[in-house]
Amino acid sequence: MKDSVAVTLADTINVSMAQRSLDQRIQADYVVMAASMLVWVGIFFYLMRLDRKSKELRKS
Amino acid sequence: MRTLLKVGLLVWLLACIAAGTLYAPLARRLFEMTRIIYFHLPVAWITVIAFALSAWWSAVYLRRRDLVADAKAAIWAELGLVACVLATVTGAVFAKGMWGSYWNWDPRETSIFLLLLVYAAYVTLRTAIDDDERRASLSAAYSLIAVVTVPFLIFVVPRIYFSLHPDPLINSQGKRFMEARMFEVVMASFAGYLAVFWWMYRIHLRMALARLSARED
Repeated sequence: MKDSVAVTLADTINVSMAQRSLDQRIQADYVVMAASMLVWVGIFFYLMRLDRKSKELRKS
Repeated sequence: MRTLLKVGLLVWLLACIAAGTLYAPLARRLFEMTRIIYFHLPVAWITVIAFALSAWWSAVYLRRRDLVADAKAAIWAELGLVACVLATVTGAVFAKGMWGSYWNWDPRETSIFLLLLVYAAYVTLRTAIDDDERRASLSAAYSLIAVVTVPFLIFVVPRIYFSLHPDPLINSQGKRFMEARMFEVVMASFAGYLAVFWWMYRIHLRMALARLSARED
């Protein structure tokens, strides 16, 4: 019973996803990829800063 | 050299994100939701590893009564908690896309929520005690009891009850239900995120050691 509900829900969502044109989907893919990369670059610089500060703290 | 390694790690992570979009195919029926797997799966595994390491250092503390071991246990528990929150949030986003709502009280969701509560209590316990030795002893004992719940809540409970959660890699059949390129990206991401968590651990440890030596002075 639960299985059939899950399949139906997934199907509904997937059909709506599939209804978007290929161009729209590719464009969205690139936007998400670029946003994820930007977030990671931000996290990386934040960690670099913390890393430097922790080294200074340990030395002092 | 170390800066070069860190820059290499950033390049590796960016390559993993690009590979998840450009190299790995979309899973059948999951469409774009497939890409959550490349983050959700590695952080879920890191949760288990971090909690296991926390228990290991807790046992080391109880044996040696060394506050550095206690600091390591606390750091791994906190990092495990961060990974657990990330796995829960990305899991909820996946649930919204696949099953129509963020939270369904599925056995997998319920068990990870319980795990969050168990380790949130660990962090709370540590903040509630001022005395270093007493805090270390109590939290080490708690951590060793808490880690027993990890395999039970992550591997046993979701397999006893019916779950909507897919089991493409760790399943009762012992087979890998994942396309080879997807599996490669999952493993590459896992290595990358593990390195990030190791880096965070090193930063946290340096701060904890500075705090400990300041107290000794």
